[in-house]
Amino acid sequence: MTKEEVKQVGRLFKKLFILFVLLFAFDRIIGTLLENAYKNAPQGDIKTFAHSITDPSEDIFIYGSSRAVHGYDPEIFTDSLGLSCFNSGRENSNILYHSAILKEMLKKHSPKIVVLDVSAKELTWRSAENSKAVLASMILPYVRRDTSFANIARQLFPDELRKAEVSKTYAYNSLVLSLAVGKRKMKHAKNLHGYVPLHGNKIQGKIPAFTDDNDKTDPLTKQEFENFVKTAKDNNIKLYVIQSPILVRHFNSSISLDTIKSILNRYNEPYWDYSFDTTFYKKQYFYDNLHLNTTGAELFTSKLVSDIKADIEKKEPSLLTPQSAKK
Amino acid sequence: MLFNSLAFVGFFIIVTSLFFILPHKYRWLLLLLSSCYFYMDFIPIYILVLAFTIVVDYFAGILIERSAGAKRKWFLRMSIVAKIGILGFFKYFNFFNDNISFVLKLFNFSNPVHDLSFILPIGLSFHTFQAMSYTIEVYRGNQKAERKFGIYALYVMFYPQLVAGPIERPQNVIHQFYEPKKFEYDRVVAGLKIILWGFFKKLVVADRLSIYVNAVYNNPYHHSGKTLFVATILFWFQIYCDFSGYSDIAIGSAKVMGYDLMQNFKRPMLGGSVQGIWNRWHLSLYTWFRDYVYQPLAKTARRNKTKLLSFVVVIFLLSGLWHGANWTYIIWGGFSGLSIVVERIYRDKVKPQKYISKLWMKILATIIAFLVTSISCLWFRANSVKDALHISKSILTMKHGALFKGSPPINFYYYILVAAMLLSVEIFQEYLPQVKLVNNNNIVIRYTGYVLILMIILMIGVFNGSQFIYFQF
Repeated sequence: MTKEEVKQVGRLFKKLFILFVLLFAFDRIIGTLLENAYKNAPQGDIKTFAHSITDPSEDIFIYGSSRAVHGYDPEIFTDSLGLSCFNSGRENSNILYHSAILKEMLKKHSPKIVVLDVSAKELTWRSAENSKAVLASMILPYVRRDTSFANIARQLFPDELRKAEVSKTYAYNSLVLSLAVGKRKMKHAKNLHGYVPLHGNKIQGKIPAFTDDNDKTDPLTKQEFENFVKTAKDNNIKLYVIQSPILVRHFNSSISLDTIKSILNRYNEPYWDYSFDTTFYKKQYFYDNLHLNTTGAELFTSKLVSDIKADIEKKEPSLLTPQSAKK
Repeated sequence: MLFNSLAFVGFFIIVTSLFFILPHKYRWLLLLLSSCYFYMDFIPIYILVLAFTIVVDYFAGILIERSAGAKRKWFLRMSIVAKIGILGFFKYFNFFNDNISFVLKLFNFSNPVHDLSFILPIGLSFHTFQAMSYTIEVYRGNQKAERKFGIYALYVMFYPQLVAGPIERPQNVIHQFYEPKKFEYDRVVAGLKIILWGFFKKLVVADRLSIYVNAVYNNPYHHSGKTLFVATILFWFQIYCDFSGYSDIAIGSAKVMGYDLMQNFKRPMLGGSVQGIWNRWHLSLYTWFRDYVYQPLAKTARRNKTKLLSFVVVIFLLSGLWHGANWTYIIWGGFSGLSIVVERIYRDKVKPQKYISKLWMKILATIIAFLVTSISCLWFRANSVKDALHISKSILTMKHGALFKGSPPINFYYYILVAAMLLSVEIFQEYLPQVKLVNNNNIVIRYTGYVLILMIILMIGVFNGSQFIYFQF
């Protein structure tokens, strides 16, 4: 290299250094602003997540994907069983997400009952990948101050963790609009304990067939499902694993469901299948083929709650005493 | 090695640093070895396929140059047959075999030949076409046969454009490998800016939009006409940013080291007509087809308009087949070629400029051409012909149903936001080039531009390390 070239390299490094300093400063400033917005005004999914891990107090927690979010109304649980209830479901998530939340929640609070909604693709590789992405977006803001979340991130998405450790803003990647829009909507938002009702019906044409796209079972997800069941049992939590109604052509089982059933059998835990219950297998109860609408959710939750009540009254009536009453 | 990976960032820094440290006479070797490493990072054994085509074309070039008349043509044909043979074997064997099986099945016969199961060598269509341009140019006398084997190998393997183009011409690149390159601050910065914009396109626009497009296109039967239409439009943005983002990173990486690669995209969205869009889209491929297929065919047409137009369709059908061994790509090519033909006939016969002002004509033509090419792209993206037909029907009949906004629905605003950002930047670049951000002379504005782009990438970029769509070709 000539002297002139070395001089030009020096110039480049100087400019890159300035850019790096500026970027670092902006990253910290914007990251801090987002952190405050996240802490002070959590809305929607963030609010549900934050409640589940920071101040959980309810007797019943519902876990599951979007089918849980839109299909289980906690108020009906409370009205019928006299127990407080919170819907901790999350769109696009599977057991990897629920297991992480349950473990974190148990550090602060142990619910009496956990209802876990599972789908026919619960343990598939694709569900696991989606769930990891959802979990990443939820827990990356916490990894700098919570070692247990950092450990989960290290296990499930180490690359994301590394980026979040380097950049404060990156920890809030894809949350900017949720934070901005959520804050604006806050005044009008009705607190439904995590339940998000879907109104109306957008189903048209024939009922589609179920396809699992030959998606294989993810071994980590399978293990995490077993951990979830074991954790519930070890903490004396009454666990109900449910398959809620679905409007696709009838199928008997799937690889995921077969695996789930065999694990539950081993732990002697119930698995209740409402997927093709004739009471709900009607278009008017569905928003789309996978999700119940408000009418369907109300009907299904009422039926589920009455079944749970009958089961508890028969086996463990003491569960129907609210924790707040005990205190 | 993917451009959008940390591994590539490290690779690029190391190779570029060594490039400038080493004396000029060793640089070709460094680039060749690093290109081999880059390629072998995917599937190492396929370097042998590449090596075979390089050896064949190296000698073919020399033999073509030394020969004359029919012999010269024969050597050219042999080298083309060798390359088409490799391409046909790896890329099209299963496609043709499946179609033969389908036809035999109609007559209750079974096909005794089974499909082959292997992964397509990455970037095969790109480097095959680049190698072909070499022998054709030597044959035409536009390029001297390269005597230095390493330099010829580097021409085919130069890592920035090895796996997804631009598909270069020997006249543009080979001489550059002989020129001593100096570290020039302005050129390096210009290259880095192009790389930055490429990353923005890929991480912020393409990968963000792919979330929505994949969700819809992988379940087309569950979605309304509105949703499928929006997904189709967004797919256009996705594929444009995915591919042009890759090209930008390739062009920028080469520029940092002092090599100029050809421009591959010129804001096609604002092409103003279907033909205008294709004149600005994947230029290295379309000029390849123009120079090596269309022009020789056009000579035979002797200004016969019908023949010339039919050759346009042929070129686009070939282009569809080049993209992939699937009927969806071929139909996409046919649809694109026919839309150009219809547009030309319409312009010649109806002469719309008589009835409408120039400005309105430009605006309407831009919108209509964009919609037509977007709709044709649904064939490019659909997983099967059956899906594509369903999607087309759903869009045309506006199948009833709500607009799917993604999961959670707030994500939909990201899709609109990133598409709008890209469109705004391109409109400024096209119509108001004097408005500059990262190229502004004012240092404050320039650095604001850098930080803004980087912060947007950090805030809404998708870092899932997804492959570039064009790698599969």
